[in-house]
Amino acid sequence: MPVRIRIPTPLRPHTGGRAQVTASGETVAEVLGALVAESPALGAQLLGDDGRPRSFVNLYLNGEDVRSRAGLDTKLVDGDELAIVPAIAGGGR
Amino acid sequence: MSERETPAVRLVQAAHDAIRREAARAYPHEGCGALLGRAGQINETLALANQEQGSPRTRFTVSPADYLATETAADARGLSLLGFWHSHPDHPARPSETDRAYAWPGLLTLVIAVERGAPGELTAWDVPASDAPFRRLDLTIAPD
Repeated sequence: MPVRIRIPTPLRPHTGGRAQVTASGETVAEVLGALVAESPALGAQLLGDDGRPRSFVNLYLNGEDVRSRAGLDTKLVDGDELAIVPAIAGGGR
Repeated sequence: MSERETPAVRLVQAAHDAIRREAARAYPHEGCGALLGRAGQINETLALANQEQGSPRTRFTVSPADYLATETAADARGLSLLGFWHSHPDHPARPSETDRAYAWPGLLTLVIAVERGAPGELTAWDVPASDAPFRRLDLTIAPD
């Protein structure tokens, strides 16, 4: 089913500047796979060598971290919004 | 440094003042905030809570909820989320390895040194590619 995906600012160059795209899938993993197939340059930013999301990438489904649900296996329903959220952190030491 | 021409960043005076003020207020913890504007000019900054629980004097963390709220607010106002600033209490305004690990191409990193509570040097950086080192940018303070 089609799901809305919120694209964060630093990744918008890879979606033609769009802040929101749609992709289809029954789970978070399937939707991410469809997104990367549509916009391959996103893959290098989002996914590690193992094909799983990088640790600096958070995925929020309707405002809730998918890690607190079933992670990449979280099932999606019509009307869901998946947000890609870059981890923002750092520090002097 | 790249031999190619590096982009310059303009920071309006009011936003510059706000960063210095918030960095001093947060001391001895690291302060942080979002940078909003258009096309290489930072027009305003939004102070954000440093959500780092373990070592807030040497680390900062922006919560995903704050990130989403900031970006949503920027989009709604026709502004771009250009990047984030953070302070280095009693440490130079140079990005650390930790800063590099979290840096995203397409987002600016501004770092301000705070020496014994007093805001000091402010520097601007970006990473031209996901595997590239930080590149220092020319930072100009512009009239409001």
